[in-house]
Amino acid sequence: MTVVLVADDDADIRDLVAFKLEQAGFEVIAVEDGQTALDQARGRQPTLAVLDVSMPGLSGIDVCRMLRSEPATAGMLIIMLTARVQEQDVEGGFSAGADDYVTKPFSPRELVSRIQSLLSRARA
Amino acid sequence: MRGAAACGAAFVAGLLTGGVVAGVALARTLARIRVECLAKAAAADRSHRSEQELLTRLRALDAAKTDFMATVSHELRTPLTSISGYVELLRDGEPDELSDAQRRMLEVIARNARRLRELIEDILTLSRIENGGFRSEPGEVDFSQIIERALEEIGPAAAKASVGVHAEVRGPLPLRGDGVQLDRVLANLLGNAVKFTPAEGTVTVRALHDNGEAVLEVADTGMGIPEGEQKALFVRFFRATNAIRRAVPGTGLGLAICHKIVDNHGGTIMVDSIENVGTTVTVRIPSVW
Repeated sequence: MTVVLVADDDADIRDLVAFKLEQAGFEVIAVEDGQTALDQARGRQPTLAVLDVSMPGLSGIDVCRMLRSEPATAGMLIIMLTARVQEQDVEGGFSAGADDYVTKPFSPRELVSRIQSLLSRARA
Repeated sequence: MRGAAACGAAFVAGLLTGGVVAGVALARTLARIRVECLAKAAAADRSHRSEQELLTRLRALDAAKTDFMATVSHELRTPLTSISGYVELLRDGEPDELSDAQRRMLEVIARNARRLRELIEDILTLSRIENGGFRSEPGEVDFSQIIERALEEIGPAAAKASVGVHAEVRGPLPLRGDGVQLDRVLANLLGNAVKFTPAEGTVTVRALHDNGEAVLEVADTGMGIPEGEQKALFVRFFRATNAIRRAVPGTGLGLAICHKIVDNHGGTIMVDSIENVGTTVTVRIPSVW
Protein backbone atom coordinates (compact mmCIF):
# COMPACT_ATOMS: atom_id res chain seq x y z
CA MET A 1 0.00 0.00 0.00
CA THR A 2 1.32 3.45 -0.90
CA VAL A 3 2.12 5.48 2.21
CA VAL A 4 1.26 9.19 2.24
CA LEU A 5 2.31 11.65 4.93
CA VAL A 6 -0.17 14.44 5.65
CA ALA A 7 0.97 17.45 7.70
CA ASP A 8 -1.46 20.24 8.60
CA ASP A 9 -1.91 22.04 11.92
CA ASP A 10 -5.65 22.45 11.29
CA ALA A 11 -7.22 19.24 12.64
CA ASP A 12 -10.35 19.51 10.49
CA ILE A 13 -8.37 19.79 7.28
CA ARG A 14 -5.94 17.06 8.38
CA ASP A 15 -8.86 14.67 9.04
CA LEU A 16 -10.51 15.65 5.77
CA VAL A 17 -7.42 14.87 3.72
CA ALA A 18 -6.63 11.69 5.69
CA PHE A 19 -10.20 10.40 5.32
CA LYS A 20 -10.27 11.05 1.57
CA LEU A 21 -6.83 9.46 1.03
CA GLU A 22 -7.72 6.36 3.07
CA GLN A 23 -10.90 6.07 1.06
CA ALA A 24 -8.75 6.18 -2.09
CA GLY A 25 -6.70 3.25 -0.76
CA PHE A 26 -3.63 4.96 0.67
CA GLU A 27 -2.04 4.32 4.04
CA VAL A 28 -1.96 7.69 5.78
CA ILE A 29 0.36 9.10 8.44
CA ALA A 30 -1.26 12.31 9.72
CA VAL A 31 0.80 14.80 11.74
CA GLU A 32 0.19 18.30 13.05
CA ASP A 33 3.49 20.12 12.79
CA GLY A 34 6.62 20.47 10.71
CA GLN A 35 9.07 18.78 13.08
CA THR A 36 6.90 15.66 13.41
CA ALA A 37 6.44 15.66 9.65
CA LEU A 38 10.21 15.68 9.20
CA ASP A 39 10.72 12.87 11.77
CA GLN A 40 8.00 10.72 10.20
CA ALA A 41 9.29 11.37 6.68
CA ARG A 42 12.79 10.29 7.71
CA GLY A 43 11.62 7.27 9.70
CA ARG A 44 8.74 5.90 7.64
CA GLN A 45 9.88 6.95 4.17
CA PRO A 46 6.43 7.65 2.69
CA THR A 47 6.17 7.75 -1.11
CA LEU A 48 4.49 11.14 -1.00
CA ALA A 49 4.06 14.00 1.47
CA VAL A 50 1.24 16.56 1.57
CA LEU A 51 2.59 19.55 3.53
CA ASP A 52 0.69 22.61 4.68
CA VAL A 53 2.85 25.70 4.17
CA SER A 54 2.02 27.59 7.36
CA MET A 55 2.55 25.41 10.40
CA PRO A 56 3.97 26.46 13.76
CA GLY A 57 7.72 25.92 14.10
CA LEU A 58 9.00 24.44 10.89
CA SER A 59 6.88 25.54 7.94
CA GLY A 60 5.96 23.21 5.12
CA ILE A 61 8.50 24.99 2.94
CA ASP A 62 11.25 24.41 5.55
CA VAL A 63 10.33 20.72 5.75
CA CYS A 64 10.30 20.44 1.96
CA ARG A 65 13.73 22.04 1.66
CA MET A 66 15.21 19.75 4.35
CA LEU A 67 13.73 16.61 2.81
CA ARG A 68 15.20 17.57 -0.56
CA SER A 69 18.64 18.13 0.94
CA GLU A 70 18.90 14.64 2.50
CA PRO A 71 19.75 11.73 0.17
CA ALA A 72 17.27 9.32 1.84
CA THR A 73 14.30 11.62 1.24
CA ALA A 74 15.45 13.72 -1.71
CA GLY A 75 13.28 11.82 -4.18
CA MET A 76 10.07 11.94 -2.12
CA LEU A 77 7.06 13.38 -3.97
CA ILE A 78 5.88 16.56 -2.25
CA ILE A 79 2.65 18.52 -2.60
CA MET A 80 2.31 21.83 -0.78
CA LEU A 81 -1.03 23.02 0.60
CA THR A 82 -1.46 26.71 1.16
CA ALA A 83 -4.00 29.40 1.86
CA ARG A 84 -1.75 31.90 0.14
CA VAL A 85 -2.06 32.45 -3.57
CA GLN A 86 0.28 35.36 -4.14
CA GLU A 87 2.60 34.52 -7.02
CA GLN A 88 5.70 34.85 -4.85
CA ASP A 89 4.33 32.26 -2.40
CA VAL A 90 3.82 29.75 -5.19
CA GLU A 91 7.31 30.45 -6.46
CA GLY A 92 8.65 29.98 -2.92
CA GLY A 93 7.06 26.54 -2.77
CA PHE A 94 8.44 25.44 -6.10
CA SER A 95 11.90 26.83 -5.39
CA ALA A 96 11.93 24.75 -2.18
CA GLY A 97 11.47 21.74 -4.44
CA ALA A 98 7.76 20.93 -4.25
CA ASP A 99 6.35 18.81 -7.09
CA ASP A 100 2.93 20.41 -6.96
CA TYR A 101 1.07 23.21 -5.21
CA VAL A 102 -2.58 23.17 -4.14
CA THR A 103 -4.30 26.29 -2.82
CA LYS A 104 -7.00 26.34 -0.17
CA PRO A 105 -9.89 25.99 -0.51
CA PHE A 106 -9.31 22.85 -2.57
CA SER A 107 -11.56 19.96 -3.52
CA PRO A 108 -10.51 16.72 -1.73
CA ARG A 109 -11.45 14.86 -4.91
CA GLU A 110 -9.11 17.06 -6.93
CA LEU A 111 -6.31 16.65 -4.39
CA VAL A 112 -6.55 12.87 -4.71
CA SER A 113 -6.43 13.06 -8.50
CA ARG A 114 -3.38 15.37 -8.33
CA ILE A 115 -1.70 12.83 -6.01
CA GLN A 116 -2.56 9.95 -8.31
CA SER A 117 -1.25 11.73 -11.37
CA LEU A 118 2.00 12.62 -9.58
CA LEU A 119 2.41 8.98 -8.54
CA SER A 120 1.76 7.66 -12.04
CA ARG A 121 4.16 10.17 -13.57
CA ALA A 122 6.80 9.13 -11.02
CA ARG A 123 6.32 5.47 -11.86
CA ALA A 124 6.52 6.02 -15.63
CA MET B 1 -20.88 6.62 7.64
CA ARG B 2 -24.40 7.76 8.56
CA GLY B 3 -23.02 8.92 11.90
CA ALA B 4 -20.20 10.66 10.11
CA ALA B 5 -22.71 12.31 7.77
CA ALA B 6 -24.77 13.69 10.65
CA CYS B 7 -21.64 14.76 12.44
CA GLY B 8 -20.34 16.42 9.27
CA ALA B 9 -23.61 18.24 8.67
CA ALA B 10 -23.63 19.58 12.23
CA PHE B 11 -20.02 20.60 11.84
CA VAL B 12 -20.73 22.39 8.56
CA ALA B 13 -23.78 24.15 10.00
CA GLY B 14 -21.64 25.39 12.89
CA LEU B 15 -18.91 26.64 10.62
CA LEU B 16 -21.42 28.27 8.33
CA THR B 17 -23.18 30.27 10.97
CA GLY B 18 -19.79 31.37 12.25
CA GLY B 19 -17.45 31.58 9.28
CA VAL B 20 -19.68 32.55 6.41
CA VAL B 21 -21.77 35.10 8.24
CA ALA B 22 -18.64 36.61 9.73
CA GLY B 23 -17.01 36.73 6.30
CA VAL B 24 -19.84 38.54 4.59
CA ALA B 25 -20.40 40.85 7.55
CA LEU B 26 -16.71 41.63 7.54
CA ALA B 27 -16.79 42.53 3.85
CA ARG B 28 -19.71 44.90 4.46
CA THR B 29 -17.99 46.37 7.51
CA LEU B 30 -14.87 47.07 5.48
CA ALA B 31 -16.95 48.94 2.90
CA ARG B 32 -18.61 50.94 5.67
CA ILE B 33 -15.28 51.71 7.35
CA ARG B 34 -14.03 53.12 4.08
CA VAL B 35 -17.06 55.39 3.71
CA GLU B 36 -16.71 56.52 7.33
CA CYS B 37 -13.02 57.21 6.86
CA LEU B 38 -13.70 59.25 3.75
CA ALA B 39 -16.38 61.19 5.62
CA LYS B 40 -13.92 61.85 8.46
CA ALA B 41 -11.33 62.89 5.92
CA ALA B 42 -13.79 65.32 4.38
CA ALA B 43 -14.54 66.74 7.83
CA ALA B 44 -10.83 67.09 8.48
CA ASP B 45 -10.51 68.95 5.20
CA ARG B 46 -13.18 71.39 6.29
CA SER B 47 -11.20 72.12 9.41
CA HIS B 48 -8.46 73.53 7.14
CA ARG B 49 -5.84 70.87 7.50
CA SER B 50 -3.32 71.03 4.74
CA GLU B 51 -4.31 68.94 1.76
CA GLN B 52 -0.90 67.31 1.62
CA GLU B 53 -1.11 66.02 5.17
CA LEU B 54 -4.58 64.67 4.49
CA LEU B 55 -3.39 62.88 1.38
CA THR B 56 -0.53 61.23 3.25
CA ARG B 57 -2.87 60.04 5.98
CA LEU B 58 -5.39 58.72 3.49
CA ARG B 59 -2.67 56.81 1.66
CA ALA B 60 -1.42 55.26 4.89
CA LEU B 61 -4.98 54.33 5.81
CA ASP B 62 -5.58 52.83 2.39
CA ALA B 63 -2.35 50.81 2.57
CA ALA B 64 -3.27 49.50 6.03
CA LYS B 65 -6.72 48.56 4.83
CA THR B 66 -5.37 46.82 1.73
CA ASP B 67 -2.92 44.84 3.82
CA PHE B 68 -5.68 43.93 6.26
CA MET B 69 -7.93 42.74 3.45
CA ALA B 70 -5.20 40.51 2.05
CA THR B 71 -4.52 38.95 5.45
CA VAL B 72 -8.18 38.43 6.19
CA SER B 73 -8.74 36.84 2.79
CA HIS B 74 -5.98 34.35 3.52
CA GLU B 75 -7.34 33.56 6.94
CA LEU B 76 -10.82 32.94 5.54
CA ARG B 77 -9.53 30.28 3.18
CA THR B 78 -8.76 27.79 5.95
CA PRO B 79 -12.29 27.45 7.42
CA LEU B 80 -13.67 27.59 3.89
CA THR B 81 -11.54 24.56 2.97
CA SER B 82 -13.22 22.56 5.72
CA ILE B 83 -16.72 23.73 4.81
CA SER B 84 -16.50 22.94 1.11
CA GLY B 85 -14.33 19.85 1.65
CA TYR B 86 -16.68 18.14 4.12
CA VAL B 87 -19.70 19.08 2.01
CA GLU B 88 -17.99 17.40 -0.94
CA LEU B 89 -17.39 14.25 1.14
CA LEU B 90 -21.05 14.12 2.15
CA ARG B 91 -22.27 14.67 -1.41
CA ASP B 92 -19.88 12.02 -2.72
CA GLY B 93 -21.25 9.44 -0.25
CA GLU B 94 -23.41 6.41 -1.05
CA PRO B 95 -26.65 7.30 -2.90
CA ASP B 96 -28.93 6.00 -0.10
CA GLU B 97 -26.99 7.69 2.68
CA LEU B 98 -28.85 10.97 2.50
CA SER B 99 -32.46 11.92 1.89
CA ASP B 100 -33.39 14.15 -1.05
CA ALA B 101 -34.07 17.01 1.35
CA GLN B 102 -30.62 16.62 2.89
CA ARG B 103 -29.03 16.60 -0.55
CA ARG B 104 -30.81 19.84 -1.42
CA MET B 105 -29.55 21.39 1.82
CA LEU B 106 -26.00 20.34 1.02
CA GLU B 107 -26.35 21.89 -2.40
CA VAL B 108 -27.32 25.19 -0.78
CA ILE B 109 -24.28 24.99 1.50
CA ALA B 110 -22.01 24.16 -1.44
CA ARG B 111 -23.39 27.03 -3.52
CA ASN B 112 -22.90 29.51 -0.70
CA ALA B 113 -19.41 28.25 0.06
CA ARG B 114 -18.63 28.85 -3.61
CA ARG B 115 -20.07 32.35 -3.32
CA LEU B 116 -17.93 33.06 -0.29
CA ARG B 117 -14.91 31.77 -2.14
CA GLU B 118 -15.60 34.13 -5.05
CA LEU B 119 -15.94 36.99 -2.59
CA ILE B 120 -12.58 36.16 -1.04
CA GLU B 121 -10.91 35.90 -4.45
CA ASP B 122 -12.37 39.25 -5.51
CA ILE B 123 -11.38 40.99 -2.28
CA LEU B 124 -7.87 39.66 -2.70
CA THR B 125 -7.70 40.73 -6.35
CA LEU B 126 -8.93 44.20 -5.49
CA SER B 127 -6.47 44.64 -2.64
CA ARG B 128 -3.66 43.35 -4.84
CA ILE B 129 -4.31 45.75 -7.71
CA GLU B 130 -4.72 48.60 -5.25
CA ASN B 131 -1.30 47.67 -3.90
CA GLY B 132 0.03 48.03 -7.42
CA GLY B 133 0.41 44.24 -7.47
CA PHE B 134 -0.30 41.79 -10.31
CA ARG B 135 3.31 41.39 -11.03
CA SER B 136 3.21 41.14 -14.83
CA GLU B 137 5.11 44.15 -16.13
CA PRO B 138 3.19 46.57 -18.29
CA GLY B 139 4.34 46.02 -21.84
CA GLU B 140 2.88 46.51 -25.26
CA VAL B 141 -0.25 44.39 -25.67
CA ASP B 142 -2.76 44.11 -28.47
CA PHE B 143 -6.11 44.85 -26.87
CA SER B 144 -7.94 43.29 -29.82
CA GLN B 145 -6.28 39.92 -29.13
CA ILE B 146 -7.28 40.11 -25.47
CA ILE B 147 -10.86 40.78 -26.60
CA GLU B 148 -10.83 37.90 -29.11
CA ARG B 149 -9.52 35.54 -26.44
CA ALA B 150 -12.21 36.60 -23.97
CA LEU B 151 -14.88 36.13 -26.65
CA GLU B 152 -13.70 32.57 -27.16
CA GLU B 153 -13.78 31.91 -23.43
CA ILE B 154 -17.28 33.26 -22.89
CA GLY B 155 -18.61 31.13 -25.78
CA PRO B 156 -19.69 28.06 -23.77
CA ALA B 157 -21.40 30.11 -21.02
CA ALA B 158 -23.26 32.20 -23.62
CA ALA B 159 -24.36 29.08 -25.50
CA LYS B 160 -25.57 27.50 -22.28
CA ALA B 161 -27.63 30.60 -21.46
CA SER B 162 -28.91 30.83 -25.08
CA VAL B 163 -27.47 34.33 -25.39
CA GLY B 164 -26.18 35.30 -28.83
CA VAL B 165 -22.79 36.99 -28.98
CA HIS B 166 -21.94 39.30 -31.87
CA ALA B 167 -18.49 40.75 -32.24
CA GLU B 168 -16.94 43.40 -34.41
CA VAL B 169 -13.32 43.82 -33.39
CA ARG B 170 -11.14 46.01 -35.61
CA GLY B 171 -7.57 45.32 -34.54
CA PRO B 172 -4.80 45.75 -33.95
CA LEU B 173 -5.30 47.94 -30.88
CA PRO B 174 -1.83 48.32 -29.38
CA LEU B 175 -1.57 49.81 -25.92
CA ARG B 176 0.78 49.72 -22.94
CA GLY B 177 -0.68 47.59 -20.24
CA ASP B 178 -0.84 44.51 -18.10
CA GLY B 179 -2.31 41.63 -20.10
CA VAL B 180 -3.40 39.68 -17.01
CA GLN B 181 -5.31 42.65 -15.62
CA LEU B 182 -6.95 43.40 -18.96
CA ASP B 183 -7.97 39.73 -19.28
CA ARG B 184 -9.76 40.17 -15.99
CA VAL B 185 -11.61 43.28 -17.24
CA LEU B 186 -12.81 41.46 -20.34
CA ALA B 187 -13.84 38.35 -18.41
CA ASN B 188 -15.83 40.53 -16.01
CA LEU B 189 -17.55 42.67 -18.62
CA LEU B 190 -18.47 39.77 -20.92
CA GLY B 191 -19.43 37.62 -17.93
CA ASN B 192 -21.75 40.35 -16.63
CA ALA B 193 -23.31 40.90 -20.05
CA VAL B 194 -24.12 37.20 -20.44
CA LYS B 195 -25.20 36.79 -16.81
CA PHE B 196 -27.69 39.66 -16.86
CA THR B 197 -29.17 38.89 -20.29
CA PRO B 198 -32.16 36.55 -20.53
CA ALA B 199 -32.31 33.65 -22.97
CA GLU B 200 -32.62 34.70 -26.64
CA GLY B 201 -31.06 38.07 -25.82
CA THR B 202 -27.85 39.31 -27.42
CA VAL B 203 -24.48 40.65 -26.37
CA THR B 204 -22.68 42.87 -28.88
CA VAL B 205 -18.97 43.55 -28.56
CA ARG B 206 -17.38 46.31 -30.63
CA ALA B 207 -13.79 47.42 -30.50
CA LEU B 208 -11.99 49.99 -32.60
CA HIS B 209 -9.30 52.65 -32.59
CA ASP B 210 -10.63 56.16 -32.13
CA ASN B 211 -8.68 59.38 -31.74
CA GLY B 212 -5.66 57.93 -29.91
CA GLU B 213 -7.68 55.52 -27.84
CA ALA B 214 -8.65 51.86 -27.97
CA VAL B 215 -12.40 51.80 -27.48
CA LEU B 216 -14.32 48.75 -26.32
CA GLU B 217 -18.09 48.62 -26.15
CA VAL B 218 -19.99 45.74 -24.57
CA ALA B 219 -23.74 46.07 -25.08
CA ASP B 220 -26.38 43.65 -23.84
CA THR B 221 -30.15 43.37 -23.99
CA GLY B 222 -30.37 42.42 -20.33
CA MET B 223 -32.24 43.57 -17.24
CA GLY B 224 -30.38 46.88 -17.07
CA ILE B 225 -29.64 48.95 -13.96
CA PRO B 226 -32.23 51.21 -12.30
CA GLU B 227 -31.37 54.82 -13.15
CA GLY B 228 -30.95 55.96 -9.56
CA GLU B 229 -28.38 53.24 -8.87
CA GLN B 230 -26.07 53.70 -11.84
CA LYS B 231 -23.73 56.09 -10.03
CA ALA B 232 -23.03 53.48 -7.35
CA LEU B 233 -22.04 50.76 -9.82
CA PHE B 234 -18.31 51.05 -9.22
CA VAL B 235 -18.62 51.16 -5.44
CA ARG B 236 -17.32 48.00 -3.78
CA PHE B 237 -19.97 45.48 -2.76
CA PHE B 238 -22.71 47.46 -4.45
CA ARG B 239 -25.30 45.28 -6.16
CA ALA B 240 -28.30 46.59 -8.08
CA THR B 241 -31.64 45.96 -6.38
CA ASN B 242 -33.08 44.19 -9.45
CA ALA B 243 -30.08 41.81 -9.54
CA ILE B 244 -30.57 40.95 -5.87
CA ARG B 245 -34.32 40.55 -6.34
CA ARG B 246 -33.80 38.07 -9.16
CA ALA B 247 -31.07 36.28 -7.21
CA VAL B 248 -28.43 36.77 -9.91
CA PRO B 249 -25.19 35.58 -8.29
CA GLY B 250 -22.35 38.05 -7.82
CA THR B 251 -20.02 39.65 -5.31
CA GLY B 252 -20.53 43.31 -6.13
CA LEU B 253 -16.79 43.64 -6.67
CA GLY B 254 -16.41 42.94 -10.38
CA LEU B 255 -17.00 46.46 -11.66
CA ALA B 256 -14.95 47.99 -8.84
CA ILE B 257 -12.08 45.75 -9.99
CA CYS B 258 -12.62 46.72 -13.66
CA HIS B 259 -12.73 50.40 -12.76
CA LYS B 260 -9.47 50.18 -10.82
CA ILE B 261 -7.68 48.31 -13.61
CA VAL B 262 -8.87 50.65 -16.37
CA ASP B 263 -7.89 53.58 -14.15
CA ASN B 264 -4.41 52.04 -13.70
CA HIS B 265 -4.14 52.08 -17.51
CA GLY B 266 -5.03 55.77 -17.68
CA GLY B 267 -8.41 54.98 -19.20
CA THR B 268 -12.08 55.49 -18.43
CA ILE B 269 -15.05 53.18 -18.04
CA MET B 270 -18.64 54.32 -18.47
CA VAL B 271 -21.98 52.62 -18.11
CA ASP B 272 -25.10 53.54 -20.01
CA SER B 273 -28.18 51.57 -19.05
CA ILE B 274 -31.96 51.50 -19.26
CA GLU B 275 -33.79 49.14 -16.94
CA ASN B 276 -35.34 46.17 -18.76
CA VAL B 277 -33.81 47.33 -22.06
CA GLY B 278 -30.11 46.76 -21.68
CA THR B 279 -26.70 48.02 -20.65
CA THR B 280 -23.72 49.29 -22.59
CA VAL B 281 -20.30 49.51 -20.97
CA THR B 282 -17.70 51.61 -22.78
CA VAL B 283 -13.99 51.36 -21.97
CA ARG B 284 -11.48 53.80 -23.44
CA ILE B 285 -7.75 53.26 -22.94
CA PRO B 286 -4.99 55.44 -24.43
CA SER B 287 -3.39 53.68 -27.39
CA VAL B 288 0.29 53.69 -28.32
CA TRP B 289 -0.54 54.38 -31.95
